[in-house]
Amino acid sequence: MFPAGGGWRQTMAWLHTWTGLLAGWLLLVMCLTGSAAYYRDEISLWMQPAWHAGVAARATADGQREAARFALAHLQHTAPQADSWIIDLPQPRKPYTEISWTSARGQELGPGAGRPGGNFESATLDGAGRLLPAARDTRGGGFFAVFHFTLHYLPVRWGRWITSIATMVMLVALVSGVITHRRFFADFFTFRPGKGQRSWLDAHNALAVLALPYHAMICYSGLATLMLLTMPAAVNQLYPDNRGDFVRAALPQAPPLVAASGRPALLADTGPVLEQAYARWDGSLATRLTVQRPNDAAARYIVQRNEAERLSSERQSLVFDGVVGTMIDGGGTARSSATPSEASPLGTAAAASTASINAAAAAAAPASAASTVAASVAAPSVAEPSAAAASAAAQTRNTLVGLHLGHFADPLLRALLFSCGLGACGLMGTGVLLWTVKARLRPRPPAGLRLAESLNLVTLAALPAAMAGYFWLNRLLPDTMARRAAAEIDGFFMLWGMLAVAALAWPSRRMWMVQLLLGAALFAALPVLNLVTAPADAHVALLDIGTGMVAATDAGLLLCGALLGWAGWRLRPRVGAP
Amino acid sequence: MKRLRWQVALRAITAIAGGYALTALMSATLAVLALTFGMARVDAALTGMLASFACYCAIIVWSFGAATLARLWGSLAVATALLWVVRAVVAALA
Repeated sequence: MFPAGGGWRQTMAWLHTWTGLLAGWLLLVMCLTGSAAYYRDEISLWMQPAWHAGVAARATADGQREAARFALAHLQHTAPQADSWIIDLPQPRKPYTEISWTSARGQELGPGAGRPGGNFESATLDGAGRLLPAARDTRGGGFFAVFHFTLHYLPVRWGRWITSIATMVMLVALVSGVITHRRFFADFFTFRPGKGQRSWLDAHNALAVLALPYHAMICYSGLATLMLLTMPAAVNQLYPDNRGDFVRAALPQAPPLVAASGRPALLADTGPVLEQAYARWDGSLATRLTVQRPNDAAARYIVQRNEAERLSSERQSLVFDGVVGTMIDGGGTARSSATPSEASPLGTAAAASTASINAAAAAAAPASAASTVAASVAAPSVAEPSAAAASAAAQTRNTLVGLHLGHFADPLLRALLFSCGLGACGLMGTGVLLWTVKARLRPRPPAGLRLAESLNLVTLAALPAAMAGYFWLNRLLPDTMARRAAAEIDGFFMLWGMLAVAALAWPSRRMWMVQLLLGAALFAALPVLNLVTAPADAHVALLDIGTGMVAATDAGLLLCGALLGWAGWRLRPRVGAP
Repeated sequence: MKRLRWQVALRAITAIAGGYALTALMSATLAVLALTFGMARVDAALTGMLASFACYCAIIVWSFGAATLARLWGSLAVATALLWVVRAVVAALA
């Protein structure tokens, strides 16, 4: 047997150890930032202090109809000649209406500046229809979401490949770990604290067993979101000549921009249009209202369903005649047209050459009525018959992606998902700590021990502190700074880098304590920073901003600080400490 | 010790490279099979892709768990040959 005389279980233990060491630290980084991404909308709102004083719009049918009316009035005034308008309606986690429009017809377009949507301009309206101050240039919570699978500075494909490989290693580590593990259920109840190595093992086992379904889900669904990039053999087999056909069939694109007729016409009222959509979806809300060719006889309304209320990430959209207001296509599915504002979590990254990868990865990826769409790949007809239910394979894939993104989760379930994410971090953290604790006990400690101990520090103590630093930079960098969003991110990496160098130089118990307490202080002071740096009228609104989202985010940040503080406090120098 | 290193290296290469190649073959074969049994083309492709990671994981685990290298390579060769034949036959029939 391999290695050297052990049984099957010993072999699996060996495989578990090495796969864990190989990918553990990278997975920890992905897992921590990915867990933060569960709260991307909340973080993004927190990072726009100038908006905190706005009146929150209600995410109800009435609220959305009102928001659409305000948005249309504003757009008629600002950009009546645009090719299309996009209105992102208020959502439970997004209390404002975001509107964007292409530059006016015939007008010279500005450079796209690398934005996915190119020549969009955008603005934000609050629940009373007032224009909010221009958005602060920041990536907000989207940075954590995108970083956790692109690793930020790397070329587009590299980051996705590296994170996919690490995730594949995680799958092997999970499977071999479960095989190794002999007392699966007993470990629910086993925890022997304060016993050094034994305690780490108990914690590792308990975290693994308790949340195993979550670990398996997040791992496999992560692989599935990028599978067109990493595992394209099946597509190459069935679509040998044109992979684009598959992409179009599996991830139907937005209805193409209709040609303008050149004859002016009044737009239909949005109220009845949305009403028809809600009725069609049994009361589900809409997420986005797109107006193609406004004020032209060929105008179209496209209403997209709110994915947050459903598990699957599949999107459904309805197409309406923009002048008469009647439904022309109730079945087709549509991917959102390029989002002008924030990068969608799994897609984006610009680079036209990777359009197909992005499409595969796009959170937006829908594949309903796959069979219908497959039949009309070349020219998605507008008058498709009503939607057949998505097929099993497409449904499975959409559900996996939906589970990974967690858009469907209400506050309580979201908190549970976040806790599970932290649990996964704890699983990996206790795993790598267990290895170093055991290695230190060997008569001749292995050569990599010091590096491993430093990497533990870099991921478990320095990264959280740097993440808190990102929030600080959001508030401390001047509003008018050039490349401000990039500077926030560079600052995050600089802080993390400095802490990492310190950790590599002195991977001591004291360094652990210092960095954990630094992270704790940075997190715990964020609510104060929020109070001090938000505009004066935002203070009044802090507690009654409709959803209380900002106050809740403050509380969450305080909790993160408390968690780190507790960990750091435990490491304080004590007489007779181990 | 030296022999152990060789074992690890050979098994790792088999697991990573051989495993990926065999997984790709399995994924393509499954897709062709699903298509032949009446699944829509796009669904067949998705099915093949979704199943691939479980297959890859199993091959990696087996690469380190197999008692001897001969048994490992033998089993993988048989699986490759089988899948190859199935894919060729099904593709010819389709």
